[in-house]
Amino acid sequence: MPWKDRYTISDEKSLLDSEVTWPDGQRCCFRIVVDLAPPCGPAGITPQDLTTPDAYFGMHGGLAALSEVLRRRSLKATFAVPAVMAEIHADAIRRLRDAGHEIAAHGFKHEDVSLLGREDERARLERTTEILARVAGQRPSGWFSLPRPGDKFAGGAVSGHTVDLLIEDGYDYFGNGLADDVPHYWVTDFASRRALLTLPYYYHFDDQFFLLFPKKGTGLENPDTLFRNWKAELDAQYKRGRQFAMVLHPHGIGWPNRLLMLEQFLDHAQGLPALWNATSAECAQHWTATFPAATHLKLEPSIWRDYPGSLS
Amino acid sequence: MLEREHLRRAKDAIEKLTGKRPVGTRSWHTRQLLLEEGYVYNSHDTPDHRPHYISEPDGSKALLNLPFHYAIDDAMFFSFAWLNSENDAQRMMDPEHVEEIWWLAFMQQYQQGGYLNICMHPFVSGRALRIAMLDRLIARMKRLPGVWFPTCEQVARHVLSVHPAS
Repeated sequence: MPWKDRYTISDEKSLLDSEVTWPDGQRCCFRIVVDLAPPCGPAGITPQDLTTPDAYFGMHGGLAALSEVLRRRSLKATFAVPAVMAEIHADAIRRLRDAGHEIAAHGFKHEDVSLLGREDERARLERTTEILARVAGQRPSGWFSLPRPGDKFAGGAVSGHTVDLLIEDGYDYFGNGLADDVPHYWVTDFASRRALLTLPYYYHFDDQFFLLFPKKGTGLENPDTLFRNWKAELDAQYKRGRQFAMVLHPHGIGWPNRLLMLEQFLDHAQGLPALWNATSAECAQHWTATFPAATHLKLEPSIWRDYPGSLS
Repeated sequence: MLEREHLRRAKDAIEKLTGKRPVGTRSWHTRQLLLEEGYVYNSHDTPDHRPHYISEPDGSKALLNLPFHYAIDDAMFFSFAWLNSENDAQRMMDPEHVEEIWWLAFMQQYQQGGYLNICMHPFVSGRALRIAMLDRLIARMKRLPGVWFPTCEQVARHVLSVHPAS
């Protein structure tokens, strides 16, 4: 997709369906991202957030049930883990790693970093990397800033510095971008073409907005809407050979009747031949090797002009 | 005058990109200015569900309006964080549900020989799940005889010639 200095949407182009390829002739990339942050506010996870029944269920019964579904179906997922959750639940994180899942970073305590200074944010980011590397035995390759339930705009927790700091700290990808439905590059500096691979996220495939009690979303319990969104997207993307990603929260989807709905969806997904179930790191690795920024990041000057009296 | 400058710059930008000057708008711009700048129609408000003229009380300065309705607007069903909306007002509907609402709206107009103006935003309807829905919806419409798929400009020219303002 061509990025422009001083972003405009005038003629951005994604990769055509016919240009997107996956390893070994697989047809469509299928990613599952599991968010291990309990519901919290913009200040990030507080001790109180850890003592709610939802938080307990999310890291115990709900997580166990979801992990069992993934194990039984031989599906790999990316677990987006705040550093504080990795400290508290180190054994659970190592079990997920041993089961073949990817452990990715999800902020220090899933706080909103948009108001932090650059140095403060850098310190938290580096500390997060260290904690996850120590707990999981391997540095995280990706960073997520998934929406918190109470955010007015579910942009997660990104500042003007975040992506630049991630590049500096050696991350391979940023996990939730909205600018395309296949991996794409997040440009931090137009002149030097500094960019980080970004994997797609979309609210309508994130369970937290459909299951009791969403702070956002359609109000109350709408698992059927979620199911139809997942299925409609997967069917369309499979047909076109692109990418599908869903986000799950164990405290929500782990509850038995919802897990049944998830299994019905996974039955459908796993019935599709040549669906590539990849972790986000594997997807990123493939993309970086096949569509590197050097050849596939197309930068064009903006057509935007400012005049006296412009509303911009 | 600032408003006129905005209109002219918008026209220049569109003309430069497409080679053709715009004759229609969906905007709050002043009717008189739109007429002076050569606009043939606006497609904005909904005082009626059919194409109609908006004019001075004496019928002068008439500008054709091609109404669209928010219930036939993808953003109202699918867009997250639309126009600073509150958390409990986010739009998370699935495509099948909206397809049915739009199909019924279309059929009602089809049966009475009317008109349906669907509003779509590429960042909303361009998502794969909704493109597939749109494809189905259009295919269903095309199976019926006598459905005309014009641009707004074509509708406007037709109405202007068949039902001129005065």
